[in-house]
Amino acid sequence: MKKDLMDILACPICKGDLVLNISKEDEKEIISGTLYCSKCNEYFPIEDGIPNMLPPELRE
Amino acid sequence: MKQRKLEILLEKVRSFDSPDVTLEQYSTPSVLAAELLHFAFMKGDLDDTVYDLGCGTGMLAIGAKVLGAKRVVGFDSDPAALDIARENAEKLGVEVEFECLDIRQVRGHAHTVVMNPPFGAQVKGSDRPFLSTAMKVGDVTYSIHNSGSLAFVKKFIEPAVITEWYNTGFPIKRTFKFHKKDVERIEVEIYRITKENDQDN
Repeated sequence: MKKDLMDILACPICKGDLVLNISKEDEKEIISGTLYCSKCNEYFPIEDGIPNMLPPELRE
Repeated sequence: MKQRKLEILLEKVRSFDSPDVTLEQYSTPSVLAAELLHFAFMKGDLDDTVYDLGCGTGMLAIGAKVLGAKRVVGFDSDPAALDIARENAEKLGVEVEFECLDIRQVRGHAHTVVMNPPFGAQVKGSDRPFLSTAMKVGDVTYSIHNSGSLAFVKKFIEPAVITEWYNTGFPIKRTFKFHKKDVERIEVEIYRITKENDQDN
């Protein structure tokens, strides 16, 4: 995902803002990392460049 | 780009590995995708931001980017489909972003929404969250529905209005076990929907 996708990303539970944590990126985009909601204490993974905003119970 | 050329290009978009019948994961045929996108392009609706709701393996999203949309984001709830979508975008050399979430959670704003939502043939009403979300985030929506959906869609999207629509065919290849023929032609309708306040025709 590109960094400017952050402006449309929100916590799917509380709709609050998310904190981006990058573990791998190239010059164009973020390859892997997490999005963290401090209010819900929930992490959402970014894998292969795709943020997964499904609630934890729906992830594989 | 000519419609036919776009269609040939979109033939390269790979389909689902293991389609889920409850999600109605039929890949949008390139001929239908090219038709919808060409329609949107000619109306000048593919210049700005475009969202593809329920993008699956990315057919409409990738096509919109090919035709010059500034920014395209594809949304789907199936991470496996999005992996293929990403590969498809790379293969066709276009930059499209993908996000994995429930379609009801889509936020932000797009000038144009393009979508081929589930028709609700397997899970009744599964097209509704797509229409609701499209009305929420987009100014103009292009959507494909089962033939005969006009009355329902018209009522459901109020106060938004359908400015144009037409009937076309949709070849669907044998995807699930209960399909009896190799290829079945499905009659569908393509709608162009605008929110009333920015209706321009």
